[in-house]
Amino acid sequence: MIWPLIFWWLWLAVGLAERPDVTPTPPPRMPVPSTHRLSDGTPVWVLPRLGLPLVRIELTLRTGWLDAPDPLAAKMAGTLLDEGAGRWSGAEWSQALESLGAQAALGVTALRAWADVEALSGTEAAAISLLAEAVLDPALARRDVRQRRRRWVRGQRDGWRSGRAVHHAALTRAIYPPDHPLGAITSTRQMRRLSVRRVRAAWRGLLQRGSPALLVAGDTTAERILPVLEAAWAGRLPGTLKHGSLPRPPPAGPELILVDHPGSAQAQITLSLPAPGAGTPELRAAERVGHVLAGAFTSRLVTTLRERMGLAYGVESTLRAWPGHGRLEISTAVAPEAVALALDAIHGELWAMQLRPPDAEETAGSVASALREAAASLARPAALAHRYGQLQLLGRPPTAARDDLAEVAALTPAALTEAVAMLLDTDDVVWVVLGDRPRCEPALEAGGWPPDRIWSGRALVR
Amino acid sequence: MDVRSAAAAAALSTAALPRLETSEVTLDNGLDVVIHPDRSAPLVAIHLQLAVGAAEDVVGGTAHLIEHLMFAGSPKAPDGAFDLWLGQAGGENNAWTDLDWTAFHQVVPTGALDLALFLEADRMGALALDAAALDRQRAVVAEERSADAAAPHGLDAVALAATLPGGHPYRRRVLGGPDDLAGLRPTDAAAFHRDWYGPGNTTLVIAGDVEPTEALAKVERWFGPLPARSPPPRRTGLPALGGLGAGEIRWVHDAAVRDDTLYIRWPTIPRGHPDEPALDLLADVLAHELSVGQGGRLDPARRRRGARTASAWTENRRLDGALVVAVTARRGPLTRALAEVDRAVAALRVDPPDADELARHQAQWHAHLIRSSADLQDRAARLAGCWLTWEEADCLAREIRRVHAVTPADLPRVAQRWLGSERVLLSVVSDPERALPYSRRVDLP
Repeated sequence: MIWPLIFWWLWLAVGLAERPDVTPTPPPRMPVPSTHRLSDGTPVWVLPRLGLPLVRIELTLRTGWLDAPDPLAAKMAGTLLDEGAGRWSGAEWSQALESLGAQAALGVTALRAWADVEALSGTEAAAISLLAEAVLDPALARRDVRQRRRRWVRGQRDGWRSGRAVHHAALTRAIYPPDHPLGAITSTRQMRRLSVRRVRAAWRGLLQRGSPALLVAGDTTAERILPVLEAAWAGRLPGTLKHGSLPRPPPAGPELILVDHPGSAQAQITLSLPAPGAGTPELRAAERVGHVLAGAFTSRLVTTLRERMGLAYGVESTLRAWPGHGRLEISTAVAPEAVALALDAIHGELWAMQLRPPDAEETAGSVASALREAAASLARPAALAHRYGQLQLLGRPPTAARDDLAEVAALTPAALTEAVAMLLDTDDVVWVVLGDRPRCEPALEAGGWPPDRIWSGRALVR
Repeated sequence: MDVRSAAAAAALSTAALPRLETSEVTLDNGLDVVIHPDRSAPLVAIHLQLAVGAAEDVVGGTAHLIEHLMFAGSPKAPDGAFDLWLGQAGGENNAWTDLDWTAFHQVVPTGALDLALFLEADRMGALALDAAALDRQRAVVAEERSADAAAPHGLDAVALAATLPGGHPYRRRVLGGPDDLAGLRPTDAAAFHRDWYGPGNTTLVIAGDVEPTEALAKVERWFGPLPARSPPPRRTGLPALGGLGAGEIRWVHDAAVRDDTLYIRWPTIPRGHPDEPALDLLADVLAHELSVGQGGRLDPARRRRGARTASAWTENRRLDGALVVAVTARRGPLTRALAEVDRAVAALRVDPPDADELARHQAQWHAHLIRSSADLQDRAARLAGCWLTWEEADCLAREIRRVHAVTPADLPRVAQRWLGSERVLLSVVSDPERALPYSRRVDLP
C-alpha cells in the first residue's frame, strides 16, 4: 500500500520542479473612507470607486430586534418596509424603483435595522428619496401585516419540508438556553398573534432609538452625494442607542442530537463550537482555522470527505461572530447510511488538527485567500458597503478595514496554532444530525455514535 | 428626476454606456484569447469556456463528470495538486457544466497568473485518469444528485427538460441518471477529454491586474505548445421545432411538494436571435401581469382566485430556447391557474404594454447587465459569453442598446409569433389527481 503514496510523491516532485514560481503580490490597499456628518450629526462615510456606473447607499440604525421590547414585531416590521410608503402603494413604490433600474433592500436583523439601495449613477437622488420614504413613513398596513403573518406561518411549514427552519431551530435550541437573547424559537402561534399595532410601535421604537450611520460606495463623490443625503435624512433620525454585547451561552456539549426529518434523502450534519466574538483580536486567526478546516476545496475536511472518501458534495464552515461571543459551524450533507462514517471522518480531522495545526504553507494559503477576498470586494459597491458597514455597526474607525487586513497579512502558524487550541480544546461541542430517523439512527448506533437526544423536527417548528 | 414616468428609463437609454477595454487574439492552435485589463486590485480572473456540454453526452452525465475529473490529476500535477497549489497561492477556483458549455474559472493574486495558466494548460493537454479517481467522483456526483432530490421542487427543471422529445439534446440531465455513469471507464473519459478539451474548442479570458502584452506572452508560453486538435462536430439538428409538432402536450411530475405548480413552456429562439430582447421583456411583462411588483406580491383579486406566486423567464441556449411561465397555486385547481395565464397571454398578443411599463423593465435589464459585470470573475464570464455569441468580447453596450431598441409594438408581435398553441404543460403535484387532465407521467432520467 505504500507504493501509491511513493508514486504520488514522485509525481508531485516532478510537477513541483516544473511549476512556475508564484511571485509575491502586495496585499490590496483597502481604501479609507472620507468621513462627514450631516447637519444633525449623523456620520457619513464615502468610498468613491470609479468603474462601472453604480452607487450603493446604506443606512444603518445601530439597534435591531435584540434590543427591541417586542422582537417579533420588530422582525415583522423589517419585512414590510417595502410594502408601500407615504403616497406610494407597495406596487407603485417598487415600480418607481424599477424605473430607475435601482434595487433596494430593507430589514431588521438582531443587531441593526437597515435600508440600502443600489442605483445607476445619475439616478441616486431619486433612489435615495424613495428609500427615505420607505424608512420614515412606511405604510405598515393592516392587510399587509395579515398577509405577511400568513406567509410566515406557511414559510415555517415549507421550511419544515426543506429542513431549513428545522435545522435553524435545532441549532438554536441546542446551543442557547431559552432566556438567552438568541434562544427564542418563534412558534406559529406567536406569529398568528402579531397585530398591526405592535408592528407599527416596534418600527417607531427602532426609528426613535437606533443611532443612524450612512455609507456610500461607488461611482460618486462626497460633494455630489452629501447634499442629497442631507435633504433625505438630516434631522429625522434622532436615536442614540447602539446595540450592546451578547452574553456567552453556557456550555451546551458535548452531545449529539438527532433531529428526525422523515423522508429526507440526505443527513445534514452540523458541528457547532464556541468561537471568538465580533471585533475581537482572536477572530481573524479563528476565521483562518475555519478556512483551513472547511473553507475551500483544499481544506482538510473537503479533501477528506469529498475527494478522498466521496461521501459529500461539499463541506462548509461559517463563523458567526456576535458582539460578545461567536460560534464556528461546520456543515455537510451525506447519505443517511454514511452518517457515522462522516462523523468519524470529521472527528478525526478535528483531532488531527490539534496534533498537526496549520503549517506555514496552509497558513500562507489561507491568509492569501483572505487577502484575495478583500481585493475582490474592491470592484463591487455592494461588497464594499457590506465590509465597511460592519465597521460602522461595531463602532470601529474608518481605518479598521486597512488595519484588519494588515493583521491578517501578519498571521503566523503560531497564531493559528493558538486559535486551534482555543477553538478545539473544548467539550462544548454540539453535533446536530438532521435526517430520516429510521435510516440515520441505526447507522449512528452501529457506527458508535448513539444520539444523546432525539428530537422531532416537526415539534421544533410548531 | 420624475421617478413615476418613463422619462427616467428613457434617460438611461441615452446615457453614456460603459466600455470595457479588451484585446482578442487567436493562437495558432486555435485557442481564442480575450484580455481585459483592470488595475484596480491586485487580482486576475481566468475563465476558460469549452464548447461542450451535456448536449454532447453519449453517456448521460459524461461532460459533467469530466469537469470533476479535471481536478483529479494531469501530467505535471497529481490528483489534488491543482487545488492545493492554487490554494497555497491564495487563489480560488471552481467549474460548471450546463447543456452547451463547460467552464473553469479561477481568481488568483496577480503573482499567481503563471501558475494558474500552467495548471490549466497542463490539464488541457492530458488527464491522468485512474479507476479509483473515477469511482470517487462518481460517488460525489451521486451526492450532488441527492442534494437536488432533497430540495422541494429540486427536480422540477429536470422534469421540465424530460418533457422534450426523445433525441432532443436538451432533454438530458447535466448530472446524468443514477445508473448512466456506472459503465464509464477511464478510457472512455480520456477519449471524451481528447475529443473536446482541445485549444481549438476553448475561449480563454484573462481579466484584471495585467498588462495585455505580458499576459498574452504568458498565454503563448503555456498554451502555445499544445497541439491543435479538431473537436467533433457539435449537435446542430433538433427534432422538428422542439419535436412537439402536435400542439399542446400535458405532463405530470408527482413529488413531495407542498404547493402545486404549473409550468408552461413554449419553444422559442436560440441565444443571439433578433427577437431575444423582446422575448426577455415579454417574460418580464407577463410575470408582472401575473404577480404584481417586487417579491411576487399578487393583487387581492388574483390571490382570492388561488394563485400564489407566478414567474416567467426565458432560457435562450445555443440551439433553441424557451419561454417558461410557472404558477404556484395555493388553493384551487391548476386549471384555474392555466386559465389566468391564457388570459394574460391572449391580452399581450393583442395589446402592447404601455410605454411606462416597458421602460421600467428596460431599465431593470439595463441595470442588470451592468451589475452582472461588476465582479471581476462575473465580468470574465460575461466577456467569454459575449465572445462566443457575438465574436465581440465587450458586448455590454450592444446588449444594453438591444434592450432599449424594443418598442411596445414588438411585444404583441413576438407573443403572436412564439407563444402559440405548441407548448408543454407540466403539473408538479404531490397528488397526481390534482394535475391538469390528460397529463402523462414524466420519466425522470
